[in-house]
Amino acid sequence: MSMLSVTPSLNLLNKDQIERIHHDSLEILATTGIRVDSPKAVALFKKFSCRVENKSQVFPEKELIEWAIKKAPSSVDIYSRTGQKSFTLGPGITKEQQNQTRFGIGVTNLHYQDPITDKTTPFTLDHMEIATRLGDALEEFDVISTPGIARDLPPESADLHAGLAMMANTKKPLVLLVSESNCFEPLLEMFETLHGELNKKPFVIPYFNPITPLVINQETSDKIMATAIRGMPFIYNNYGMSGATAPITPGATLTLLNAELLAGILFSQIVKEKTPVIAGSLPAGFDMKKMMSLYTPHTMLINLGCAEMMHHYGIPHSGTSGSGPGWGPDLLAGNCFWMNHLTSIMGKVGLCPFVGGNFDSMAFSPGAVVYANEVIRMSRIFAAGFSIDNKDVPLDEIKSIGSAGNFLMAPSTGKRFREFRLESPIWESLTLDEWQEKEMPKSGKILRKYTDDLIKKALPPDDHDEIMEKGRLFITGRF
Amino acid sequence: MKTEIFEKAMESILKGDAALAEETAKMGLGEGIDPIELINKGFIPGINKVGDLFGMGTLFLPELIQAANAMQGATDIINSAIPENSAQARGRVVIGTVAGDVHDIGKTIVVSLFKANGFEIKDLGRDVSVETFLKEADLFNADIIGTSALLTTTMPEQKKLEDALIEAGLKGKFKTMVGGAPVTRRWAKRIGADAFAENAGDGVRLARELLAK
Ligand code: B12
Repeated sequence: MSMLSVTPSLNLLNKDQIERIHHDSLEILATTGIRVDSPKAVALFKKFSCRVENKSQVFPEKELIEWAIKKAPSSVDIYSRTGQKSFTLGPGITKEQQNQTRFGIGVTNLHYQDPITDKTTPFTLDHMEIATRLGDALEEFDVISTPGIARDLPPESADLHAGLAMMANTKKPLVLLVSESNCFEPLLEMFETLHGELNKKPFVIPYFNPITPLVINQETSDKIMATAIRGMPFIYNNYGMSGATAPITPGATLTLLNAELLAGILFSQIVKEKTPVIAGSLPAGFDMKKMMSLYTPHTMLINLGCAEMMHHYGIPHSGTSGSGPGWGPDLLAGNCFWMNHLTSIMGKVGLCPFVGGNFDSMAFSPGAVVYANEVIRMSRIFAAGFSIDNKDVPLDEIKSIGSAGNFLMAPSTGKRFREFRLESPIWESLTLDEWQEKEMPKSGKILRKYTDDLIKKALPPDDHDEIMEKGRLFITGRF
Repeated sequence: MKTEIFEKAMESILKGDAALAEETAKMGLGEGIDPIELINKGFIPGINKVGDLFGMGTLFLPELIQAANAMQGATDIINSAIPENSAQARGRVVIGTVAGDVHDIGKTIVVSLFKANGFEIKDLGRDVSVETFLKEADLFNADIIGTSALLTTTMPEQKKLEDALIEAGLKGKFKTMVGGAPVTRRWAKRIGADAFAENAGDGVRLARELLAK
């Protein structure tokens, strides 16, 4: 990047600090180790000469971890359903693409908030369709992550119908969360049947968690094996609540979560070398009175710290998405979006996949998603910065206008004012008088109406019906 | 002397001071205080107060947990001084997160609050099968089986438990209590569970009601 372009960025950790966190993480793995619940996975760790105690406590050594970090791809290309490259995740990409944080709507909400009234109802398959089309229509969103749980369907097959609805209602890449473990492989098979191979031009990214602190559970290792064998990338995210499942201090939470990610990266590479793994943490605080997770300036710092660690390792990253405290598309939700989206974009965050869940990720709020789209848009403009080169700093023009002149008539104003204007597609600008004349409209009400209109207008992709038909056939053949 | 020891016992629990609680328990027994009186007049008022303060939002969870630990330490010492058959009947609860489900923080908090409210509680951990719930409830001589389910896909395990209880003719013997993010009062009613708890405090209140029945 030229010295004449001003591009703001946020950096937390210096080299020594990175080394320290890495060192302490290795120490955790070497002394506490990680519990691995799957005997098959333990056997693999053993095969790679890890020390194992009590059948399941695995102690990976420094050299092996560092081998895995080198083996894991430093970037992964993600494609649209129709095979166009959508974006690349990872620090191993070109300069221009660096720090392009990607966003998704999500995730696995149990309720849906009415766009106009905010009233919640159980999330259904129809909501799945609405949410996916909304995410598809909003430009700033790059992926769709399983927005909710279709609770109007039997739980043993709901994930399949939900996955199909996602696939049919967008061409954007999908981040996939599967609640019913028996649905996981059938769902991948359905995508393969409808789409062909998932590894060459991956448009589906499955999402898994270990259990903090320091457990790789059976289900997660089974899913990782099924995914890696197919050569697909996957997201490996740990969710730690400081003071509950992770240590209370930010430094210790960051270190512990980093240790878990290293163990996961290692596991991915011993299952199959060069498996693309997108790693990161969803750090949360824990409200010791209300018993729910919460997002604070500290949890955002841990998120950014984790992104820097992954950047340092050369591992594509996925982090937390700032959804949680809202009651609707409101100030509470907006607060957290700003804190998360702007810092993510300015930091080294790769993917923020889960924007849109209110009440600790219980209720999908379409209005919150639309609001977040604006936050992302502005954050992206902010992070793009500005230039101080000759073209952008025309000294001769300043000279010709001189003292006490104005720049309304300046040639560069005429030529470039469109580049620098900021207009909202949602709200018009109003003077105080105009606002009073219009009987004091509420900005939240306008946002809700805008959201509702957007939902009503959002159309499915042209191949929607065809995919739905083929998918239904697949599902009825199976269940 | 007696009242002083009772006050000290109460204070040790309120402060969550395990060392002081154990010391006071030993001191009380050493002074020849009847173990049941020692627990009922010293420690239980302390833990009840803690439960109330937590319920009112005055105490934070870590304080509650420290108090529950102190209580546990004192109770263990005192219980060993009580002859088996005269042990006091307190609510006995087994609790766990259902099979296929790893979410266990809510359940762990429920365990702490039940302890803090003087229940005898056995924590079965997470991913617990219906068979294990039945076996452990029997072994522990439980009054209540509490289950936590955080996924729509694991909620059916709570129904499986009800069915298994009916099948084994144990429906009256163990009361059941269900909880977890997707679980509702309606669901509890539908599957025939005896109670649905919105949160841990609710759980304690309902458990007391169930025991009184
Ligand atoms: C933390 C978390 C995780 C952690 C769990 C770590 C752990 N050790 O518990 C991890 C990351 C491992 C995880 C994994 C998954 N999760 Co999760 N998770 C959550 C999250 C964000 C918070 C849960 C929590 O701890 N809350 C705090 C505690 C204190 O509250 P609580 O559990 O509700 O308990 C209180 C009450 O409900 C009540 N209570 C609860 N049980 C009982 C029982 C009794 C007897 C009583 C009296 C009271 C009671 O008292 C408690 C205290 O007040 C929820 C969202 C949410 N807000 O609930 C999602 C959530 C439950 N998860 C969800 C999903 C989808 C998953 C995954 C499938 C994701 C994936 N990776 O594919 C996996 C499933 C793994 C599995 N098989 O179980 C969905 C549910 C979807 C569904 N189908 O129903 C939710 C709602 C997601 C969301 N939108 O964020 N998850």
